[in-house]
Amino acid sequence: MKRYGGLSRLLSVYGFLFFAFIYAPIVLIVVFSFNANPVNMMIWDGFTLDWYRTIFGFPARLTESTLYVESTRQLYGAVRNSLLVALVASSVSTVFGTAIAIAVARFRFRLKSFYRAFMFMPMIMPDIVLGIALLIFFVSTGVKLSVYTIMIGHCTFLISYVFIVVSARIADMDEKLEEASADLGANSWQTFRRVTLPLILPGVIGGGLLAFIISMDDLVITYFIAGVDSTTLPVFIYGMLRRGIKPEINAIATIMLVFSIVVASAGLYLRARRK
Amino acid sequence: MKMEATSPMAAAQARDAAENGPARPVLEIRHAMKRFATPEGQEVVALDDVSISVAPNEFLTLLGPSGCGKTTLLRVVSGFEDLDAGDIFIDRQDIAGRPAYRRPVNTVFQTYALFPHLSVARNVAYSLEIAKVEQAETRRRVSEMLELVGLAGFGERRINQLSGGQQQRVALARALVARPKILLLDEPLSALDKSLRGKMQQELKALQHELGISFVFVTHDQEEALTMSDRVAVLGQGKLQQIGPPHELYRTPSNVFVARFVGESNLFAATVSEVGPAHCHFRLADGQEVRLPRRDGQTFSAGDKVQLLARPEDARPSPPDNGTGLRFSGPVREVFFVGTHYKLVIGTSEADEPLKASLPAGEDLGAGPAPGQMIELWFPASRLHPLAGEVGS
Ligand SMILES: Nc1ncnc2c1ncn2[C@@H]1O[C@H](COP(=O)(O)OP(=O)(O)OP(=O)(O)O)[C@@H](O)[C@H]1O
Ligand SMILES: [Mg+2]
Repeated sequence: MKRYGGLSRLLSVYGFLFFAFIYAPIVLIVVFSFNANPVNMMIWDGFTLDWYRTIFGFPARLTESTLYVESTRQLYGAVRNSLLVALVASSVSTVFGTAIAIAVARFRFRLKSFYRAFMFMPMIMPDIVLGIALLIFFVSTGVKLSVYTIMIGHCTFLISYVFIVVSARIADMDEKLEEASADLGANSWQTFRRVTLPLILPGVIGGGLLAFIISMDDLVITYFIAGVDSTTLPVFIYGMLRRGIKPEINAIATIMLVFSIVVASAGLYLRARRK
Repeated sequence: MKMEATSPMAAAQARDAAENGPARPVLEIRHAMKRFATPEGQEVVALDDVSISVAPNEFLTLLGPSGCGKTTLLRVVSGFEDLDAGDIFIDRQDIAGRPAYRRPVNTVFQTYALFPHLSVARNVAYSLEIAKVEQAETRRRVSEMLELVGLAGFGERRINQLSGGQQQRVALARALVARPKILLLDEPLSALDKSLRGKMQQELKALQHELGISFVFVTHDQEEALTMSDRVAVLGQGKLQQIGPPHELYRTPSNVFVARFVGESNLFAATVSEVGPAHCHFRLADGQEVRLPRRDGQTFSAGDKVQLLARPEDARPSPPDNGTGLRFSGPVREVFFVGTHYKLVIGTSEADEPLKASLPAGEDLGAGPAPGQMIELWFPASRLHPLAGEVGS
């Protein structure tokens, strides 16, 4: 027993370091977003909400020169685009991803495992390849780049994510339940509405939320297929970064972090409640 | 009681079959064939030319070892599998190609398959809701049904708050509430413990009697089959081995497979030594000869190899001076006391397998035979039944 004492302490240290490694940068960003020092973020200069004020377009107490987000209107536009793209792309992907997951799990058809592997492809494909491919596709078909091309582009890989999450849920579901429903007189649609959908709903919601967050987050692919007026939030932030790391970015990052946590918690809560 | 209930039915069915006229049965399966291709590229014949008909209000049991095609037979009736060949009629209507949800049969699944997201009452109400039955009427029928299966007051429970036996009853109520023509039950009791099982057997039987619905009940428990059924259909390797009332299966099985599967049996290899107009003579390897009356449909000829079947309870401890039968003697190997009887396993030089005998635990046996003791047994000729074929088949 004694011999494990040292090992166990070592493991605790390892555990601590592991989580510190993951979370320290995130904690730093949150802390820095309240740091009043406008020049060097690493030096704590007192608590301020100025960076939040700035990004929300309220007059800051600071001088014009430090005001980095020149146009709050641009930021709002980017946020609005991001939300719109994420909402549409994740909704469309949820419908199609779920439909494909059900088809692959329930119907017999030729080349089924081929199709299943096909559904994984967009996930393992490098983002940059997908981005370039989509760009070339849109340009060569003469489609003007806009928020709509972003939506279409996002759907191509978000469907895969929904497919995988929903497939896992269907695999847990007893196929006999659908047979029982048919046995009791329900046709395919009634069975889907009354049995299949309610039982896979946590997976569908989970897949949809995951798709939403991934869409909100995507930089590489969006970067290629975004039009001039269709900047999304990640693209906008990336643009800001190229002009130097400024404190406002910490504030934006913190808000996005909170937003993601809220969305994820909502998902987890819904999931727990259905069980 | 049971004999009276079954024999007119069996007779009526025999007449039907003979006339080959319009089908009176609620369910008629004719020459059903079903093959499955296994992933290994082989072919399994799950149903091999099976013909069965079920009379109104009949309790028919499908009995057979694992993998003999019982579930497959239910699934082709309920519409979850298509036949490769053959026909199925429900109420004289050919139901080929009719989807499962439009067949007037309901199923109690082996794993119950209750909807976990619905309450007990909503589970039971499911088929009525689908059929758009009026709400008040639905409520009335659901509570009536729950009462019938002894679950009054459980309507608001969730499925995972029920015991196995209670789930079983919900499955039953759910399948019966729409009053199907035929109820199919796939080993509904196999998940229950022994005492609950006995109770459910009686309740099922009573329920079937009360509702007047035909039951097709699957089991691989021969005792269950014998106690519950009007008729039993024994399946083996996809083929219908025999169908008939329980006592017929037990007393006069049509082949070695049925004899072995239904009840305990002693089989003695014998040769037909003489065929007379009314009787056949059989000779055992040890030289004993016995004369048995010929039955309908028995076509033995001299020299045929047969098996003589004797049930353990047919054994008599002391052979009388007159009367024909078979005698055996040997050392008692094992003794089991089962209250009313002593079950004995006796080693004999002649038989390859030890003899099984069951003797009433009357006063004359006292504390019972002791292991190692030599014992002499006699099986009267009237209790012997000849079967064609070798033991191995
Ligand atoms: N979908 C299928 N694909 C391939 N083979 C199948 C399929 N369904 C059944 N079989 C085969 O058909 C045969 C009969 O199966 P079935 O399920 O009807 O047996 P059963 O009598 O119900 O057995 P048990 O008592 O174990 O439930 C088995 O050999 C089985 O392996
Ligand atoms: Mg089965």
